[in-house]
Amino acid sequence: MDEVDKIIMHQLHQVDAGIEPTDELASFTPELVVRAVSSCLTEIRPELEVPRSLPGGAMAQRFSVATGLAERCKESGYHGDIGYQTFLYPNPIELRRLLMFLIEQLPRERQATDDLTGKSHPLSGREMLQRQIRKKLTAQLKAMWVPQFCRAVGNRKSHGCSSLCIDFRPKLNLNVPSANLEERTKEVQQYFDQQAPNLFQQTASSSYDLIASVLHKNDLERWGQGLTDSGMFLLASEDPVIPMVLATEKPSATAAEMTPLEELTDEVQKLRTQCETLLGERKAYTARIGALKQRESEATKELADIQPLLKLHERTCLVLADPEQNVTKLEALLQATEAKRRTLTQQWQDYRLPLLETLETLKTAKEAQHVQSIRSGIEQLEQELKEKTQQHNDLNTALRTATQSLAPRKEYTRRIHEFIGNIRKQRADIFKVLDDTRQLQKQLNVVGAQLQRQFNYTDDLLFQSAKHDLHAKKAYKLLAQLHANCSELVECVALTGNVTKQIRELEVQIDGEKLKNVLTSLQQITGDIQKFEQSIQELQSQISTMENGVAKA
Amino acid sequence: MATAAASCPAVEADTDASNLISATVVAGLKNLGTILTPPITKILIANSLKLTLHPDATIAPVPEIYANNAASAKQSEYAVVALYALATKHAWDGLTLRHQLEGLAVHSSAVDELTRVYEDNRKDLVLRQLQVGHNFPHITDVQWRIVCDVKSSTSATSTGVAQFCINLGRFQQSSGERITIVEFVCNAEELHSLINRLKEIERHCNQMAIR
Repeated sequence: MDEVDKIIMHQLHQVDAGIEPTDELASFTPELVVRAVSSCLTEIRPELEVPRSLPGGAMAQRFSVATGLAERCKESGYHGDIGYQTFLYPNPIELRRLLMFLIEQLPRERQATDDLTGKSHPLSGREMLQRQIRKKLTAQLKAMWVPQFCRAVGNRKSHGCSSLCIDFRPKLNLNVPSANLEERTKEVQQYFDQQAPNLFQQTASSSYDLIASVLHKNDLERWGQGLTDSGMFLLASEDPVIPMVLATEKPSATAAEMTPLEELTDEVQKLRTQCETLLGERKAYTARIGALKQRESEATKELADIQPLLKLHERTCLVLADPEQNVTKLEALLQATEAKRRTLTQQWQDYRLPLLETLETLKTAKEAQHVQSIRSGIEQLEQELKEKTQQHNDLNTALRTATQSLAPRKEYTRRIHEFIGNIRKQRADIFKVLDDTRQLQKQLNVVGAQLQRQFNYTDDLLFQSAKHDLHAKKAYKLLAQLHANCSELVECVALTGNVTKQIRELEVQIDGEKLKNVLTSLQQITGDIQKFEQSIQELQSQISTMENGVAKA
Repeated sequence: MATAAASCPAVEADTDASNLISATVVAGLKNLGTILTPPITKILIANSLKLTLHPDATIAPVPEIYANNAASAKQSEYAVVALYALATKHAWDGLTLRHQLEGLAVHSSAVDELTRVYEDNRKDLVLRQLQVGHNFPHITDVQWRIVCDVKSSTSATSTGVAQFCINLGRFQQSSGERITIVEFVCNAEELHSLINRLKEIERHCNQMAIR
């Protein structure tokens, strides 16, 4: 903290010489605090009018001065807790914070200008620009926020680039009849008279501005089409100082820069060529290395071929050195090898002969076996052939018989077909009859129901009239009788029908029973019964004899 | 920012018109009152001025201007607009304009009319021209959206990470329509980085202003 306090003291002393740097921050009196803050504020914003000192008398005045200073500090952008109490009842921590903020806000150029005041040399362009930038930035930072739609033309300058600005966007190829009437051909004149859109139609699109387009075209015509850097010229006409400086600086700068640049480019060029030559050399060397390697391999091959030849030659040379002795030696060697060969061939023959013989015998045995197997095969095949021919003959005869017995078979099938046809016919007839019967049944039912209804109606009618009329009463009785009789009749008919049906069934049953040879079985049964009777009689006689015997005994 | 307007009238006032005005403009001005009849000239100047001052307004077309000598009329329209633009740019007063036009040998009735109209509408022309210039996109509106996917065609589960869709834009001057200047999607980290950069810029500006 001491260091910070020291720095603060130093700065304050620089701002206001009346503040002694030896004073400690904790020992600041309200008067001293007000003096320090007010001098800092005047330094930051010279246009502000702040009370320089705290009045010694009335408390109200002191209070208003302190409040005013606090407000000024807040306006300067101090965000900490600040009020009259900061000045009237100073607290070292709060005071330190406030003074640090104010010292940070102090304009830095103050020192520089202080240094330069004595020399009074004019500010350079760069410094002027920086100062302008600084001024603009401070103004913009301090300016309050204005909604976009309030940034009209009036306060535009104070807000920098306004969003309400119309972009300077000229239509680059504005099509307007040129000044020279003679240059225009008939077609062009006609086009301009009839079809060409007017100036306002051409710039109607929102991407162009009319005034910008017009100014652009005017300047283009004044300076000619070939002018590319018209911007430079415009600058030159508006502010002749800067371009001149540029113009004077440019050549010297270029001259200074050109030589090292050229040197460097030259060097680069040299290095490039060197590099190229080196690369070429490298290529040549690699090619040579390849050729040499090939030669080496060829030489090794040749060497390998030559070495055996060399050995041979050496030996021959050795032999030829002492011919006679060597010849005798060689002859002896020859004879020895000859003898060795003979013994070896002898041995070979000894081994070979018995083996050859065994081979022969085995061969013959094998052949004989083979022949025999073939023969047996042939015999088997012959037998098979015979069997097959036999079978063939049998089958031929069977075929003949089969063809003979084909006629009755046909007959049978024909008959079966006939039967089937008949059965079908009968079945159709049966269905027809069944249909008829059903129809009949239906009709019967209908008629019966109709009759019933009729009877009911008649019965009702007659019963109604019977109450008044005697004849009707009679008729009613007769009707009742008639109905009873008729129903009896119907019942009788139904009964007869049932009986006939039963009769038919019984007949069918009888026929069935007849088919079962009842007579013969009956005869058998009667025979059996008779036999039983006989045996019973015999047994009875036996029993009687036995009884008689027992009785006798 | 804007084309230099009323800033330095004394210097510009005595510049020769022949240097400032192109041949086409001169030709167009000479048409007035000669090839084009005085009534047509009057209508043409009034129409041109209206269209210059209110580029976005819908102004009924005046077909009688182009009834005869349409090519000359089109040339003259251009000339009138260019003349007024230059006069405003160089801050001529009515007298200077008259002097310049007389120097160009324009028909006297046309000179009278042009000068009168210019003097009557000079303030509007200056205001109109003050708005022309270059500016950087000035962001005055931010629209944002925090997005988090729950499910997508590629994965059934959510990534659980929130994405910030941010759209910086401004409102168009004439229609009040919103224009998007830049739109981007970023995650929280990137957004933090952006905010930090912006703060850094602000701090730097502050430093620059103080130093």
